[in-house]
Amino acid sequence: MVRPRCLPGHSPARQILMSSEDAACDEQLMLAYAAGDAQAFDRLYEHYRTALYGFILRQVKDPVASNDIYQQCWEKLIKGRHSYRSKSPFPAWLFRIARNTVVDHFRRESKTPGGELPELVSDTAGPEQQSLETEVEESLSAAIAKLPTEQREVVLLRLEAGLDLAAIANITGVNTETCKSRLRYALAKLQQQMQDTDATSGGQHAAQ
Amino acid sequence: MRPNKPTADERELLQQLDQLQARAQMPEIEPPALIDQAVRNMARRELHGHSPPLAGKLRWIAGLSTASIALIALGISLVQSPYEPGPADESFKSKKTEISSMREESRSATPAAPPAPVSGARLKQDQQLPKESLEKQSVLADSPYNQAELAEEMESADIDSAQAGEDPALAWLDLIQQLHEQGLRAEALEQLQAWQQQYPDQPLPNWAAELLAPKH
Repeated sequence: MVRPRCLPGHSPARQILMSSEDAACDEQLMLAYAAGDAQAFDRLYEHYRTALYGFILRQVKDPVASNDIYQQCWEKLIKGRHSYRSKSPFPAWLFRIARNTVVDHFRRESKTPGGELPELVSDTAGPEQQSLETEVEESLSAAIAKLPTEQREVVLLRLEAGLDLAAIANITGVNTETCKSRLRYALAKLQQQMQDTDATSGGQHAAQ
Repeated sequence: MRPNKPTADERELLQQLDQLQARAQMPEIEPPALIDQAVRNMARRELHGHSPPLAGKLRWIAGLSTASIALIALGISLVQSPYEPGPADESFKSKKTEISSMREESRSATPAAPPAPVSGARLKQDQQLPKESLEKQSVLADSPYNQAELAEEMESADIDSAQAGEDPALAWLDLIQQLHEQGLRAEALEQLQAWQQQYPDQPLPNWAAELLAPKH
């Protein structure tokens, strides 16, 4: 998943580890937009549209609700543009807005009491259909969908937004060690799922 | 909030996740095109609605409008204020006074006119003046400007009768004759004696000589 940032070929996953000059690019675009530059917003939007939408849809799993939340996120960003400070990395700010909007959505839906993200129901398809899906679809997406919400959130903030553990911990409101623990569990499950998928796919291909 | 340098443990975790992603090729999910357009429009609309730089650009227009309105208001107030004479008006007034005094001087230099009742021309003119104009004179008598105007008018009337060749002595005599014919003998005699004193060289008509002659 390679997305352009200020320099072509830079993936979001490497954003945080880039030089301070490169990392400041999105922040400058955001400040330029707040000062009235509409084109700066267009560039910023182009950089983050798929990442943000993917993050929301993979969390909510409802296209209609995702569309609504996605628009709400950008609306909050647009209306709050004057409150943005360049001390905060732009992706961290954007995905904090997105995460809060998703949490608000779940609260409104009364899916989780106390503001915790809901434990989303895993795919209800049978084993045969599952194996077909994993073969047709990208297996990682399906594996992420099966993760517990807190672990999925950490994974998506890394894969979609390219944030480091400190930023993810900051956004999710936990300390870095908790965040690291969630990621470790998630990674183990994902690797196991991927191995199972590979084995299933390999077995089916061998049988054919 | 700048990211801290990740530890080796964190780096390893993240690398494993990135490798997993690279191997699985998790697809990008595109938002609907309509939503893209809606968000972009919203961003531009907000800028046009509440843009501080735009407000800054329009600030000079607001200032210019205020100045224009103030200028127009000043103009209107000047137009509506009561007239106060300026230096040019003062000089015009003094010139007028000078001309009036010169006219008075020239008038006093001319020989005195006979007493009012003897001015037959004036009497005739008064008799001939229409009633409306007399009323107008009385109404306008208060105004100094109108009085002067009327006086000038009467003056010009005198000049006109003189220019017409009417002799004041004869006119007076005519008047005395009218009195005599109306049977006002005493008044006619009194006027005739006065006339004779005023014009001793004038020859007396017969009716006047009879009137002066003592009755027996």
